[in-house]
Amino acid sequence: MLFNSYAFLGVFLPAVLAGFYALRRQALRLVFVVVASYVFYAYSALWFPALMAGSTAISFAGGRLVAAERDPRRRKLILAVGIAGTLALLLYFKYAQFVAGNASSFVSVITGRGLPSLKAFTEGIALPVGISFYTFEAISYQVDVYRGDVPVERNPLRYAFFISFFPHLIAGPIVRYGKLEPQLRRFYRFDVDLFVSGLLLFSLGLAKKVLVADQIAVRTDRLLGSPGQLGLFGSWGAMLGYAFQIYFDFSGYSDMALGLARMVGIELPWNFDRPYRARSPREFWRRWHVTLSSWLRDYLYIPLGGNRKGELRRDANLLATMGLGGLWHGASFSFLFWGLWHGGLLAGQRHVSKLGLRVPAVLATAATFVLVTIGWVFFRMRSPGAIRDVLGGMTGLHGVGALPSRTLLGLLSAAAVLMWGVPEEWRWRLGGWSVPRVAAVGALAAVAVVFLNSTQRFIYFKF
Amino acid sequence: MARIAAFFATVALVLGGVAALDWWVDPFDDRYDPAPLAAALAQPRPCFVGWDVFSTRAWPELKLDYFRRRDARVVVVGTSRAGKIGALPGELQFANLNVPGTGPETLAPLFRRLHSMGHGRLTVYLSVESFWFGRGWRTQASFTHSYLRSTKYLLSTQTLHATLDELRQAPGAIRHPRALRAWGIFRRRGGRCVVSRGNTVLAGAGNTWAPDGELWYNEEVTGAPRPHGQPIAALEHGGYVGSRLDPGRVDALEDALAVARGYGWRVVGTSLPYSDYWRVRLARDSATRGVVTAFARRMPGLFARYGFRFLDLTNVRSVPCGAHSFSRFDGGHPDVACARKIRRLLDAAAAS
Repeated sequence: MLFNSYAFLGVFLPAVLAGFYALRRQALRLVFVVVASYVFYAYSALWFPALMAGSTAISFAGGRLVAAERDPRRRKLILAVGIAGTLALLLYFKYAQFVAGNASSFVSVITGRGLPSLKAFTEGIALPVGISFYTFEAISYQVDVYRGDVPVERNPLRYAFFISFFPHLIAGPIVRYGKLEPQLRRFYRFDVDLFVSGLLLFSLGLAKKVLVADQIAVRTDRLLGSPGQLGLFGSWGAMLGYAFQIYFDFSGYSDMALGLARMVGIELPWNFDRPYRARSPREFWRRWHVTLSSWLRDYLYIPLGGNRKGELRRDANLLATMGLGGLWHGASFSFLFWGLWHGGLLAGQRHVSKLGLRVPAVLATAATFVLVTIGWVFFRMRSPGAIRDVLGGMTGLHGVGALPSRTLLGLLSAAAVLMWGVPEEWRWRLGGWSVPRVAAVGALAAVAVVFLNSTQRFIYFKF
Repeated sequence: MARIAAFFATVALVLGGVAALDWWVDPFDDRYDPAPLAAALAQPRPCFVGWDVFSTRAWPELKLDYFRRRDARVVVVGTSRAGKIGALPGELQFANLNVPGTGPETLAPLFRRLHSMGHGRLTVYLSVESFWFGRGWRTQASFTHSYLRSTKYLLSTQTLHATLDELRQAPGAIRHPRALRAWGIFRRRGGRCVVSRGNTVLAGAGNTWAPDGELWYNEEVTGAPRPHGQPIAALEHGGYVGSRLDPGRVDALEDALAVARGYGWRVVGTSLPYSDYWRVRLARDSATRGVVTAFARRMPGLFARYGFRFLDLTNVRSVPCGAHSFSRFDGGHPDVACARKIRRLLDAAAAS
């Protein structure tokens, strides 16, 4: 179910809020929200909840067994088995097709036949939405219990809530159990300021998605549909458009998730902080999809050795971490290249920073934005030919070409004003807003509702 | 709490404003306007109504208006294939309610609405199609009033864009929204008259509804040569595909028959002719054979279970009509002459 759908706004959300506040005991509320979240997930496909229940059971049991074991070697073994069990579902559903397809192509080069039956089998595998997100949450819980960072959860209901809570189920933010667990222990009493803050944040997120991201998407999709015809202006217009589209799409979703959670008294971690204001690639990753980048740092980069084993190893760790981070988005070489591009930027930045150059802030921000936008080419375009076409256009190899439409330029200007002129919405003190401001956001939400029927899926739903 | 109330009040106000504006301007003619049909039927020699006067979404209401104004007691229900089954000379209380896209799900709500109009015991000639029961069929005609559908229409981006476009191009439309889509009565010298927008129908564009609700193609009104149309069996090919009849659609048909029986109506079901080429091809093609043969086998018994007769006229010679008695050479829409013979058979079946 999409947050930006009539079914969610008109039926699901009002029913959940009414049910939640009608229940006067915390345990009943937890049961109610877990059931509602499973219904929410089943709306996509009836078998998805079974998969999530399996992942929940494996990681819950893994956490319990790790906590119960005293022998360090056996603890490590249990952790490895628990992670492998959780990860196996993700690997099968997300990467089997990719691996089988490439293996078949490789075998075909040698034998001339490939592996048609294996390829046909894996092509029937459907990717369950949200699996990448809740798998990472389940892994982080087991590792945190192993490290002693969070106490083991003995209540399966609270743990099921952590995995399935519908605001973050489909596309994050990736929540750590330590952040959520204390909030699940207390009975939340209705707080009008927090509710208003949630309502407004949700509405602003909806407006960002429907009125900005989707409007840009219509124009950039048209341009990127025939990348070979794009000149310098067209390709930059399209890619700048995509850079803003993906930001407003995903941060809009994150705002909606944070807002929904606030409506039931839960604070989720923020995910974005106007990332294109970053003055370096490193800062960019402290502002872009922060719950993923911090997950990769804590559970991949640091365990690989981080920057503790010399420069060469550090650079390799950055490339490996970001390459795997790219593959997390999708089983495709273009995502891998996108990750490696960012790994290269992060490693390159470390070397350049040693030169002690003083770059004006505006220039550093512009350079970072341009480099990130070039990276989006790998993210957006799937085939090598299309990537080559767009990069060729951006470097002027296809001539100057026509300017993008005035509507697209207007949308890009508006997006730029929001990006560099206004702080990220979750930072706004929405809970204290007066009636006229609240009414203004209500009007914005109403306009967004009118645009719902021409809306598009969230980009991150397919990851 | 005042802020929460202000939020939802503003949302309601803005959405209400947009919906009211879209409803008033109604850029896609979603609302049915009874005036054109009233004018057409009020002429000394009633006029045809051009398809350009109403949007396709308003067709069900138009057909109900035919039923109401003609005080009909005998009706034809079905797709465009039943479009030529017309009133007998001098017969007033007859209406052809065919709507393209009619399917089994259309029927029960239609029957309930006909009954609610209080015309007493009706005789219904129900043209049933084998392509209703295959995998690829989608019923489009609906006589059910859906508030959700209306709300989606009034609150859609496309409707708002069209409304604003219309107001930008003609600001006066806010006071007289239908002025931009004005209709008139156009006459052919010594011939038929047509209610349409501009002289489009008589100039050769657009089909019409006849005064009894029949579907008349443009060339049948204007006398132009018959064009080659796409064969119905090719057009609806997906509807014939399958190995058995869709059980949900069979249930919908049975619901409708049960409703008709409950009202004490007389129903005669029929399957209308195809050209020999298409009849044989549909029966032999492995993709369509299952549905077509199951349909032929099942329908007579199904109608009989509710006390109704079913005439299988799929074979054009069973009427009998000529091999080419079809509009537009499409092999699926019986022409006027053939439809008259069909009407006589239906009347005989209803009387027996």
